[in-house]
Amino acid sequence: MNSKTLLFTLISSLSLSFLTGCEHATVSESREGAAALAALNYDGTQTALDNLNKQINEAGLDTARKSALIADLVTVLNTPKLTFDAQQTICQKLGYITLTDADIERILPAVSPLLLNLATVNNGLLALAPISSPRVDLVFIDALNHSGGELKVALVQAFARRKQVSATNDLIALINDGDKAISDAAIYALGEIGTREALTGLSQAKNQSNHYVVDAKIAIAWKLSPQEGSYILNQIYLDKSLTESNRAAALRGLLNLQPKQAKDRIVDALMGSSAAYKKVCLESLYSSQVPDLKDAVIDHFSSYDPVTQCSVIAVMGKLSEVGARSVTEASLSSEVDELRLAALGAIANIPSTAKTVQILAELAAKASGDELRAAKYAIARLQGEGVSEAVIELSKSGSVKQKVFCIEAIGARNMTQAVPDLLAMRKAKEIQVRVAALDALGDLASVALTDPIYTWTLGSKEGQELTHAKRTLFKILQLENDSSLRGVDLITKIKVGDAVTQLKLMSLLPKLDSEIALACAKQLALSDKADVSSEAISTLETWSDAGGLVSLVEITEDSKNPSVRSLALESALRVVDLERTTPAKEKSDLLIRLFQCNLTIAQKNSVLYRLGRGVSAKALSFAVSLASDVNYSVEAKGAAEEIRANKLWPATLISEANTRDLHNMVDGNFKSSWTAPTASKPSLTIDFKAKRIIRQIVLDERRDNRNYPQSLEVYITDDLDQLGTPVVVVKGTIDATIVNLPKPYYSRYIILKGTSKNKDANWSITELHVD
Amino acid sequence: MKTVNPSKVAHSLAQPTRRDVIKQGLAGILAYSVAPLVLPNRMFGETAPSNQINVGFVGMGLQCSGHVQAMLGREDVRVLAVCDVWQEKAQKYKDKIEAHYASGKRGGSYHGVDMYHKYEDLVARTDIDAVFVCTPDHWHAAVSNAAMKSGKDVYCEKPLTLTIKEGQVLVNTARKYGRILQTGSQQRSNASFRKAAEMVRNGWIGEITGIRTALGEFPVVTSLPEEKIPEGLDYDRWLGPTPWRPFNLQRMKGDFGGGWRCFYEYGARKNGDWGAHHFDIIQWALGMDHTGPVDFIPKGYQGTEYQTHIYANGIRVERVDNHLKSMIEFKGKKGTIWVSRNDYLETDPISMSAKPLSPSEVHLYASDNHHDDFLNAIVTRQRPIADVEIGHRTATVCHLNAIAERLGRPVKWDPLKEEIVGDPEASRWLDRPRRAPYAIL
Repeated sequence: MNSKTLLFTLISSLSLSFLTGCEHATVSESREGAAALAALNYDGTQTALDNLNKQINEAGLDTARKSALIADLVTVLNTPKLTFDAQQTICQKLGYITLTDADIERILPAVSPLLLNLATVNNGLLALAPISSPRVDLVFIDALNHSGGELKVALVQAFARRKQVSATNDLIALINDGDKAISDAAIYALGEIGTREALTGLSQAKNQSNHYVVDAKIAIAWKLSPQEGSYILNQIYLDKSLTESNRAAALRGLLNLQPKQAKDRIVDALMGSSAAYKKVCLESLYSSQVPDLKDAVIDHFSSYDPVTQCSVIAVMGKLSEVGARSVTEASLSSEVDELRLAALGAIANIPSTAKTVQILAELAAKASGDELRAAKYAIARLQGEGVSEAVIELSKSGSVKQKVFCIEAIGARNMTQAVPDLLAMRKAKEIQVRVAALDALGDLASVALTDPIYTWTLGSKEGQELTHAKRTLFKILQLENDSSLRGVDLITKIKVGDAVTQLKLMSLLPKLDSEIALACAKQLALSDKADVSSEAISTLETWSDAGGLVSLVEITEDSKNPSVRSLALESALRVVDLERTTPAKEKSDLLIRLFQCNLTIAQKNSVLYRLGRGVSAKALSFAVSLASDVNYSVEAKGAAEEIRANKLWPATLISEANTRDLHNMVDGNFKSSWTAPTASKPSLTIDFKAKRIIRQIVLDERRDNRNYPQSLEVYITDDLDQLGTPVVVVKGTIDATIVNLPKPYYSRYIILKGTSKNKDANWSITELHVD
Repeated sequence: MKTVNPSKVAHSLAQPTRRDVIKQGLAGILAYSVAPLVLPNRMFGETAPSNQINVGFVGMGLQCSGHVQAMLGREDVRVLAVCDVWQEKAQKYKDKIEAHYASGKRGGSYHGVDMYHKYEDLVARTDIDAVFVCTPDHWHAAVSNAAMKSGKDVYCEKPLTLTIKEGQVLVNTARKYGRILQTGSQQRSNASFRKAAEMVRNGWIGEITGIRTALGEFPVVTSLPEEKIPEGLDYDRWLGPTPWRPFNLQRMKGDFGGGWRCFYEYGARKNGDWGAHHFDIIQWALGMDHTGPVDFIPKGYQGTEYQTHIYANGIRVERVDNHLKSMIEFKGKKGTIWVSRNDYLETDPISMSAKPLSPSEVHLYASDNHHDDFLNAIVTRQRPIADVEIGHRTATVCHLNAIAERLGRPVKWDPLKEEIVGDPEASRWLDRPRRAPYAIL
């Protein structure tokens, strides 16, 4: 029995005595069902509640079924050993059902006594507060007259929710009650009721500065006629004994209820010194419908302090107020930094002219940081006659900085009509102009630009211009949705091109994400041209899927050039080390193929070392077959042992810091991770259930790469009670933390302890690998 | 032994995918989309001699951490007070904030953060300009309303309210008292969501044929045994206006995967939790910020496979919790947009995502930082990006979906009158009974 239930049982034995004479409804459900509902408890089975919900939903809007159900619920409410949970549940359900007058009469004998007791009053309110009925109004007033203390507070608050006009006099009688909770609740309720009588009653409150009184008056003012409301608000506004905040709220109301005076009030406030008044006046500007208000505010612009000017300009921008263009343009030259920023934000939305473009370009040429960014924002959105033409003109005739500003704007404004001008800028002598033009062409990317941008790219020298040209070229290439067709032109150009062309364009291949691009890169890797081959092998190493690794293996197999084979092998092994998405079996098969290539003994041993990460029978068999070969026995035996241990993977993971997501570290899914706050000093225990060889631990953090362990202690042991000293202490690194152990270990447990002192950080592991 | 070169790992993992490259292209365009308007606070000379915006926090649990951190990182803001019904939580943040301010002081000590148990005491202070409401949903409205009536501006976590009625009250108070309220639906301050909404608004994908979103699902609530109330916790006040329940830590735990978020008593489960973000973006994209859908159909009713709400123009929004590659999918006759957090924005045709808007097209209100936008709005007195009515209208979508689900029948809604049509019983759900003595709103 919980605390509330215990209290309730004592009370219900009293209150239920009121119910003995009530009407006994037919129980449509089984007697057991009613008993189960009556015995409902928070920590027990909820079947009775589920059944009740089902019955209510099935009854839907059928009044007859609902009435029968209500009768059943009243019967249960009258059960002598009713639990608190059951009473609360039934009352809550009754509160959500639309009741007929007959239903109301049926429930009142069972529910109204609940209003008379502090322990049950909230249950009674659940059922009765939502019911709008004169009969229930009387029940509440009667209950109020028999209550005191906290019980009275509850009932008075209920009058507020019910907006029960008939309770006005009873509430007025309480507004100076000695119990502040009661008087405040009564004042609040009168405000919610919102009648003239309620207002009159409020005037009797001894403390007229009580914020409940002021708020109640303001609430009533908005409900009465504008004339009456204005009178009330004006009294508050002029009452210097009240807080400025209260008076400002009244002023805000007056701006709406007395629109004729609003213009003068707002202008006066904006020129005045009261922050509270300024706040509400500025807030009202956006929604005000007062004629000529904006013009009046703009006319007095120079009389405001700079911060008020910032706010006025901001609202004029939001309203696209053309009348504010002059003051906004003038503010772009202000010495006040914030005013210039505000003007830049606003001018973007105010209908403008070519002159505005000129002003913006001049400002941008001198600006940096936030101001330059704001200028770019403004020019990107600027509208008005002659604006676009002025942007194009200045992109050709302005200073270098102005040109760059306007060229960027051409892109940001999607001004495709300026493409010929942008292409012509390839001949510009200033690198800044050429680069800006390339970027703008990237923004305006279209298939028609393919050839001109190829030409520009191939004509560019290494450096900034080439980088930007390739970026633009790629944007054009990606317009093709079909990946099998994407970049076909590029590949053809690479295939038929000379070495310079191939080297310039090759880095675009991995980004195409297509089979033909992969085949092209492989073909280049097998080229006779050493620089082309080397660059192509590096390119394949960066391929975003396993295709790059397969190609590197094939190059190692196919190339007759030992140095190409070596380069391809090194790249392939790096990919094997780092790329963990390829299934282990496929990786093992590729490693076996690599081993069988024409390689040195040392190279083959490095392949065998990686084979130890596999799990397949084929990999194990291959390693075992080499165990007696004098050239490979050490690595082969190690690999065989590791493969046997890998079969037990994933290991059991234990952490007190976050027990729920541990499996995310070993699910092969880079979209899920395990995260623990470093403040909890997280530790992670990896239990292999048997001894195994341990050479390297990789914590892949790519999903949440900033939350790497800043400091990590690594323990390796067979006995969790005797950790000893850490075998190594490492600092984590972004993306992946790789723990290279000082020597191979043969143990059952790894314990990783985060020792970061940063209390606000997390430690996140996307995937865990142990080699 | 051969070892791996960590720098190569980083290099490999950082290789841009095709999508990354698209994102980089998009970033260039989006750089032009927001004005970095960060205004001074000299208007607050009377209440803040240091020209700072003085703020207080109510609700020092899981959700407040990011807000506190952001405010501590700003020179134009001073945190003056914290409030929580659990003393140790308030104490933890008082200590943290004071330690932060102390670190910037000669002598290394600072004691300017006051701790409150009751929000009424915090909002009564005349030197606080703005209040962050980071409580569970069932306290949002009462705290926000009291703060606005006391002359404060408010940043309130999403969903804005527990009931539709509460939202109406907050909108009225904000307008009548001239206050600013920013709803914490911060996806509006993300460039990818904004671009997605602009593409929809400008008709780039043509007539909308369907919108799908993934909200996920919370675990089913099980009955909980009563536990001893920890010392220093005013559990009755934590429950506040909601029906009394015995204490169990699980019930009030702040947990993005469960805790109080699972209980209908304190929210609208996933419809409120994630719906407040994704339904919000959908409202924005469709230009429905001042209105809303007209039909709410629970999963499995009227032949629907998924929970569905429908706008008056026939556009359907389905809550598809699985098999969706993004958080929101907009499908039109001329294309599709997929958008998620972490700057995920993908389109078909692919070129659409990086295409700039021309000046004559609809540019939506742009914000890159929800906090900046709120603080700017405090100064300019203009409605922030997730203004109170926007928060209320989005919460309405959340609540009506939850109401239809709980009632087990479709619900019709009149967004103009803000009334449920033809179902007085469903109308009862527009508000909830408020437990005394916490019933004042």
